[in-house]
Amino acid sequence: MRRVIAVNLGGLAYQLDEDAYERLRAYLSHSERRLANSPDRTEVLGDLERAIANHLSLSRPSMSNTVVSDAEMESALRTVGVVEGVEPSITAPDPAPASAAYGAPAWQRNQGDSDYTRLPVFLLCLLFGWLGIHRFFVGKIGTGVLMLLTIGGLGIWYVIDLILILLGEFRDSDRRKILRWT
Amino acid sequence: MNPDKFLAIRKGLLEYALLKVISSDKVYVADMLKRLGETEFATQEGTLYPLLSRLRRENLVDYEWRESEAGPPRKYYELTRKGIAQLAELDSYWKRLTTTISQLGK
Repeated sequence: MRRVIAVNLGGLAYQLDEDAYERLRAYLSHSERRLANSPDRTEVLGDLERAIANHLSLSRPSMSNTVVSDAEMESALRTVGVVEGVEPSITAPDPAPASAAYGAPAWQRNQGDSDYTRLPVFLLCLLFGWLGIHRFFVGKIGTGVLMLLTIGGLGIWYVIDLILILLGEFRDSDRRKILRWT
Repeated sequence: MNPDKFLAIRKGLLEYALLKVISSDKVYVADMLKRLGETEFATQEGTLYPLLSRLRRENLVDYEWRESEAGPPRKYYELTRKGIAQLAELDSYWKRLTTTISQLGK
């Protein structure tokens, strides 16, 4: 069960999926930092919120109360685009510049936890962990082969994985934590 | 041809192009994006809003709120008297520039 977060965007209420909410928050805080030195900061942020709300409304004509998905939010933010025109200040350094060298800004990246669930990964690791099957399952092919060849990392490595899975610290090939059980 | 070769030129001229669009009618951002989108000056809200805010601070444009059927209210922009004067100045400057450039080639 995913959490749903209610937000007010440009005076209208929207229900956002957890990932959509995180994406929006990352976008807005990135915009805020970029506008840190601008005297028009408050106004532009309000404009951007209304623009995002406008795109969300256009993609759902009946103003239905359905939850805004992460994909819808991603598309709305892509249409609005990165805020521009003011250099980020020195006192508020921008940790997520749009430059390729630093990778995509947070709201364009895959956000949140993994789509894989803990129970199947845990069972695979418990039963076939010494063959590295759970690593193949979450897309970690390279280390999966390594684990297979070393018979579960001499019987130690796969036990460590088992504990990591239980603690919710095990990650998939996209480096996203596998958190949900089912 | 590398499309980004003239990026700096387009960036510098965006304000001029935007004033032109606003001079034609009372417009809101979606209208501007549509008009500009058909040209070399295609841009996004993330670029337009900071620019519009600055133009308003410089008293070149002003806006009024209008309700929309779906979604939040919209700002409809128009040129102020100062904005119209600025655009006329830009027009004549642009003409001078193009004349200069073409004469340099002779």
